[in-house]
Amino acid sequence: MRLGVKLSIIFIILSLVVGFIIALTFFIHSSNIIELRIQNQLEVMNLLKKNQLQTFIEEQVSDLELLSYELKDEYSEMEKLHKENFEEHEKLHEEIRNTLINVIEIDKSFIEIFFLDLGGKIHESSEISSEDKIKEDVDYFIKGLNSSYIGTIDYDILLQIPSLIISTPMKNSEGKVIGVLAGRLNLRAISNLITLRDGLGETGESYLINGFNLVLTNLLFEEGVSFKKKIFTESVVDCLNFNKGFKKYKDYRGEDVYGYYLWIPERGICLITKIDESEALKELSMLKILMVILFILIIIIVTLVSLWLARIITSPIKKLKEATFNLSQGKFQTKLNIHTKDEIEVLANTFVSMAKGLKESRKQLQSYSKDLERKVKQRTKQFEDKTKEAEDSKKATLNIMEDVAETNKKLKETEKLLKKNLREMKLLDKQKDEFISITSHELKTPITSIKGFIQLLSDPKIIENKRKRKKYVGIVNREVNRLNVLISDILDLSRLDLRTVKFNYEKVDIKELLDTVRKENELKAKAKKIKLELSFGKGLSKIENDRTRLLQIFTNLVVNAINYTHKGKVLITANKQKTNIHFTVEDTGIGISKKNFTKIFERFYQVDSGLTREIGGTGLGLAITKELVTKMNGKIWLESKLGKGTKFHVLLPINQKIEDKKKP
Amino acid sequence: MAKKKIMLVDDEHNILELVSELLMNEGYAVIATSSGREALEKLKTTKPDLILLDMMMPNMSGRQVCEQIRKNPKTKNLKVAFLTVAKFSEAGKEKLNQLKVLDYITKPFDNADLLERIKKILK
Repeated sequence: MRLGVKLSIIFIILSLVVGFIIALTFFIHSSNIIELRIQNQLEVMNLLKKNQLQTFIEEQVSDLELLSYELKDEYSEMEKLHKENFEEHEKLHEEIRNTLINVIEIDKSFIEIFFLDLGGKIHESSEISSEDKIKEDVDYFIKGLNSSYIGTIDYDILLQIPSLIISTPMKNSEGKVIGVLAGRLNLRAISNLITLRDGLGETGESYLINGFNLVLTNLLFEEGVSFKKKIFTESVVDCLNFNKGFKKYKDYRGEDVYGYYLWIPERGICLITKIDESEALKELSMLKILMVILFILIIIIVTLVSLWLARIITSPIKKLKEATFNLSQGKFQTKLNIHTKDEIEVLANTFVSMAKGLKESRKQLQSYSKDLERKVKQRTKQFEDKTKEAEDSKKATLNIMEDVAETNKKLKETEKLLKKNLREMKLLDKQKDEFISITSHELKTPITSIKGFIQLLSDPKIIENKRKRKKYVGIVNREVNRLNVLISDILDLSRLDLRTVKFNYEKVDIKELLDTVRKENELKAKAKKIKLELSFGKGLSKIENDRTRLLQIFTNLVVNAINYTHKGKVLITANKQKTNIHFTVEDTGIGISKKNFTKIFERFYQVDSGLTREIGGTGLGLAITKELVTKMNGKIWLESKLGKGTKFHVLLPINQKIEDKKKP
Repeated sequence: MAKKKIMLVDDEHNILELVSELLMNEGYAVIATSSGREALEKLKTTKPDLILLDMMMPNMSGRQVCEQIRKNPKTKNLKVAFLTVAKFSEAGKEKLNQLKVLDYITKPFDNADLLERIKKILK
């Protein structure tokens, strides 16, 4: 990679890593700050609502107190009138009721205001229907006799609305308590107050929950569930354990929200203020986009700057590189335009002085080498003259030495030949001994069987046993045959060895010959369900050879092929090849491994002894075949693959040489 | 008296059959094997009173089988006799004596002679 590119990449990676770390730190820090800000915002809103709620209720209580003070004179008068004037009393009663109705019409915060006498009976009420009802055992009556009282927010079963009742003692002009003035507050006013969503954005809201998880106010995302829906979110559960706090959790819709919750013990309710996480973190996502833009800008700027920097650093190096290249081409550049005032300028100066030095030394070298060349030519000529003289005298000496060497060589060759002959003779002797020993074993084995079984057959016990008798006679019969074949094979071989075999050469028709072989072995092949086929090439002439011996050769090969083949076919072919006939006998049998290719032509060699016994060869067939083919001036060889089959090749001359014909 | 057990080792099936028949007719128990390897394998599980070994066998000769028998501590004391076509020289017999061979029965043999010699060995 080029230096400039490498430098740029290093610059960019370095600045990117630093930039990334700074951005990450900044991002984590600001997201913490944003979360803290959300908490503060929610907490402030929550407290504000709580105060507003408190203030609202307290205002209503003082309104009620003021009203009781205003009504003090009327009730003092009524107390006096009570027994004397019924009409006056009734009039006053009417007057007070009208005052109460007036108050309600002016101040929408109350739904109903009523006065209870010391017996707990509603004496006057803005709702005429509730007059004369007895409420002697309710908290607002009992506690209201002593001081101003604020109730809890309940669901009024009779009115079937949520209600909050406040009350205050009613005193006469002497300061003596004569009853209780109570007011039922309009909860819609409270609900409106709480659900007012100033400063809470689009998804922010506050709501109240009572001790039974029941929503007391309207919800932003579900309409008409006030006093109907119960909520069990994390914040509600924690708040109803009398706690306050800030949390991120899933709200009643299942959305992720940030929420602040506060337990108000005086009212026995919980105030929750919350906002959706997505809205709360809007700023943060804006920040993310901003940072990505910033990051891309940084990458562009850094890349440009680093490319520029790399160029400044690499351009003098490039010049140096070119100068070096020129130097290698034999151009000595003695001036370099590099003024970077740093190590590179020093390097350039050193380079220039080096180039100058090189130019000088090359000049010297050239003149020196010319001088040398001249001297070499001179010396060479002197040497050549002297060499000529020396060679003339050497030739005479060499002639004598050659004669001696020749004699020596001949002697050695003779010695070698003698040793070889001796070795061959020893080997032949050993082979002869072995052959005699094996032959005697092979001959005596069937004789042993024949002798033994014949003796056994004379045993009266065996004569009586018809099955055994038949079997043993069979064995003797087969062994006699085996012995017969063996003896004729051995005789054949020894005749071949002693060269007493006489070939009766005549013109033999190859097709007729091989067809005879096929006919003679057809039954044998059929018994094993093997096909026996012939194939002849074009222009097949008659062959000059001994017909009986040829029959012997091919019968041997075909019988072997059938014996060692369990399925498939045996194919005999004959083709003319210039002065020879090329025969093959091919089978699809068990095959022969390569190491046995020459051994199978040895006498009594059995590839698998057990198998040979079953098949019934003498172990001499191939040895005889080879001897015959060789004596006929032919060649025999084979190719084979284990499990695939074997192919024997026999090459015999069409015409025999005259000397062979005469030879016995 | 329990039957005497004789192990035969010969690659020639006809001879194996002949000798088995002769011995069984005389009341011997016969274990017939057709190779040295098979004989050595069977000797792991059985202990014959006499082993009758053919000398000339492919793969493993009778002499090699006998050497293996003498090498193994379990079988080294078993009685061994040879069946052979060759007549041994004195030097050859000396060598075989080191293998503690009790008799050499030459093929072809006389049935009665064979049984007589075996009877003698087992006495």
